[in-house]
Amino acid sequence: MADVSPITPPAFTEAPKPQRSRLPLPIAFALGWLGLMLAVAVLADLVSPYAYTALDLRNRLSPPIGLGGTWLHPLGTDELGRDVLSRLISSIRTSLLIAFGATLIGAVVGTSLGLLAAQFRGLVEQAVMALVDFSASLPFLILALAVLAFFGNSLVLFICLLGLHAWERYARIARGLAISANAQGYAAAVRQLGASAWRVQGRHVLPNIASTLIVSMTLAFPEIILLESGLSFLGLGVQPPATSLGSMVGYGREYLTRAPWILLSPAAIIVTTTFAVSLLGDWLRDRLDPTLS
Amino acid sequence: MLRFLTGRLLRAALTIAMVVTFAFIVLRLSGDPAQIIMGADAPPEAVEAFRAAWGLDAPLWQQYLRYFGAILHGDLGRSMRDGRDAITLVAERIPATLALTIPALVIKLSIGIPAGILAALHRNSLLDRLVMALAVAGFTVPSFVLGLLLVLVFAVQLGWLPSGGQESWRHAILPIITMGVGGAAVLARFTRSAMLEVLGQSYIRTASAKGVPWRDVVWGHALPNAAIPTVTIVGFMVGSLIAGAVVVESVFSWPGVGRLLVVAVGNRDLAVVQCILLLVAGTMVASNLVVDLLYGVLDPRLRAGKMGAQ
Amino acid sequence: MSVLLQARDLVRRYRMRRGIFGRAVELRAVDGLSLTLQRGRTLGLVGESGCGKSTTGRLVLGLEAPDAGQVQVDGAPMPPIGGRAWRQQRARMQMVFQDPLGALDRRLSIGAQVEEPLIIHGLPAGPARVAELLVEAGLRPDHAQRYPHELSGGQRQRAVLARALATAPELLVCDEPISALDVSIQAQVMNLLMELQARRGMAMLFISHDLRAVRQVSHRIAVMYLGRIVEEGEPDEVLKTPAHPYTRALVSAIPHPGRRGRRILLTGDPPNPADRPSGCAFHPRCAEAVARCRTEAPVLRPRPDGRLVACHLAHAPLLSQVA
Repeated sequence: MADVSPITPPAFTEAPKPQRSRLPLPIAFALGWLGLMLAVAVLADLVSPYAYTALDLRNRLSPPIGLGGTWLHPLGTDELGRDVLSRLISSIRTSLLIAFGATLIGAVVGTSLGLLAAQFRGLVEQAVMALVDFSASLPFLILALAVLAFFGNSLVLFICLLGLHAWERYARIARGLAISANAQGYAAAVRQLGASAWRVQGRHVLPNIASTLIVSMTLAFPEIILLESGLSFLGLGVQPPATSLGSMVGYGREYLTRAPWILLSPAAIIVTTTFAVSLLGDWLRDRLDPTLS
Repeated sequence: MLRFLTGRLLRAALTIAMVVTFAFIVLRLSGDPAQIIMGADAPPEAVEAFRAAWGLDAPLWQQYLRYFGAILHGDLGRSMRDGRDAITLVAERIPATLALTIPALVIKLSIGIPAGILAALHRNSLLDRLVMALAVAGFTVPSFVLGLLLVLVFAVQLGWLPSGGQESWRHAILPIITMGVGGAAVLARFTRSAMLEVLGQSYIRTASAKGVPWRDVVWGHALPNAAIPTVTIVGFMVGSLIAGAVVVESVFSWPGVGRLLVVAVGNRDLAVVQCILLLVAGTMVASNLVVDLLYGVLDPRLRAGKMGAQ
Repeated sequence: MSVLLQARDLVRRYRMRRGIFGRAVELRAVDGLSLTLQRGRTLGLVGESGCGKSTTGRLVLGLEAPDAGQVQVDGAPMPPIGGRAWRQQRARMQMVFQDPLGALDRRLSIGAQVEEPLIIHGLPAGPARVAELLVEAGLRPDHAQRYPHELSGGQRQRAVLARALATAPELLVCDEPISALDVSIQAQVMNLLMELQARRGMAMLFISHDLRAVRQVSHRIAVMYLGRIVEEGEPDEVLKTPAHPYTRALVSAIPHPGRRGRRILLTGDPPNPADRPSGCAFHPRCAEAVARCRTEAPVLRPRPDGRLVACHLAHAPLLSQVA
């Protein structure tokens, strides 16, 4: 079993010296960008100029502004005359919803199993660790494809499936930290006060390991965005009429030569967002948890 | 040493068994296999006959054992699309995938590792910053975006290279670059951090403080120690060669195992999917096994530990 | 004076692996140890590190199950660890730790942590009760709002003590409670422990490697060597006329401005519980060992004056006078 999770590249080891009042410029940018994305996702219906399915057959494949387009469709239109900006806004909402949902599911499932393993040891722990080994032995993309082949696709299933990504990382972290906390120190002290396992884990262990888990979540988040967009790009993720960043790239690919803008704008959003979250995750890791490898 | 080996082998076998079980469970959960294979409009008598013929009316645990036995005999079922053996279908595609993934692996190793080492040795220099910026970019740009951008520039705009297909070696250039660059970035980042960790250890500082030339410190102490974590990720890369090919083969319409998987998933061609699942798991497990054995060679502590046990 | 807790023939083994592939070695941390705790009295347990003192404390408290032997509280055996009865019993027996910072949750205020046992055991809680406990442990009521890292080492240990006292336990096990503290603070915490015991009348097991500290707080002391008690008696008696050669070495190591006695230096390897010598475990380091010590392990039994000693020579008065 590889102890290092190779999917997460290690962070910059030299963090910019934390300043008291000002955020480092890249972090300010990352926060600003993510704030913008969140706002777009939440306010999608308000800021979207058209419905994302609305057709404008007279303006098919119209280019964006700067390439001869008009303000009618600032980012151009696709082959059916659908407004790229509106579709982009809808895609951001879908992709973020999936990524947030899946990250949360992964964190909750993994952490619970890890804490269970640490609490009961013995057979429960063996079973959890065998599952962890199993997860680590298959590239997640393949696992996801297999499940999609067997079960077909729906948005809820898709989110749950992506939620299983990286669960084993949380499980491993939570188990390790909880075992060391249980063995000595505060958790052992509370246990000998007569506290129930729920109380020890919930009130003491979990809050103490939360910062490490949150850092893991910020590191898993961009991976999930990439997975979602990858699967949707292959046509196996988000299904039409719904649209996500990855599926926009996937469908736009057929018009690569004639209308590259259809895929370039969602591609740019994917790259910028994963970049911003990665920056933030590395920064948080250096700030909050220097022990996390 | 023998105990160590058998332990690892048992573990590998267990993992494969779990993958098979996973496939079985998922297959049964996803619906009635007879109905799926015969089609929704098949007459009920035919479905019933099929069930009896394939033992699908037996208790679940018997089916499970039979399923396991069939897989042990190399019988992985037939493709629902053209009725050929799934295993032949997959085997035919393997050379095409290897033609992309092996050169890509060479690129990853020959760019990623030296770049990571150089960046670590010249920490905070312009070179370091450049390598890290590229590494972050390599990680955050998904391979399908990179692939399409390369197509846009080199095929559409410049017209130097073909955008897809498998007619000549020129068709392989863009997919190999696409695969290699992302992996090289991850590897560079990882090697750099492993190297920095080792360089920060007290034995390195001791060695250079007592006057060992820096060159010898690096070659004699730092590199061998940094190699240990790096081997892990290289092992992972080797193990996930096929998985990495899925997206890139689809972008470039390259007829390899990855594209076969995507098509099979789209058609719900379960036998083929299951066959590829086992192939991937097998590669992964085998490369993990090799990594574990390499650890023994690279890490004298483990070697000494093994001697002690004999 | 009545018996609160009795431990008989406790054995605790650990399996330890050398390296990743090494063979597991059995380590006997506690090896046939018996002790009795009286209500309202303090038993001091002294010995060098690795002799099994802390393990004994944990066995006595029921935090670990012995591999052999039994612990009885009020004549009843210890309930299974982690069960409901065990958890309820925790209110009756509490522990003070060596590292108070490690024993406190750094994310919760002192007040919340002192209140926790009250909530767990359904006792009357609230800020007033917390303030009362803090004051009793020598803190101020406003310390309740502070966090562990905002307190000094001594104050943290007082907070741990306040938490331990919350459920009015009948037994307090103090595992090296002062060794992580500054010397100037050590005396304060010890005085506090003695004061609290006098006021509340609880039994105490005071574990330390510091013979002087143990002597100061204990009504009775037991000296441990490699998982066994080698000598047990009244503190002043034991310090004045140590009967076991090991105790003599410990006593002679106490710096003493007035006395100019010779100091017994122990030779040989420090004890290793994974590799226990045959016969008397102390014989390789004992200057007085005779042939019998190498083969036959001495049992802990009373001398005519009531002192318990585990040494062949101590029970043969003629020979021991020579030393």
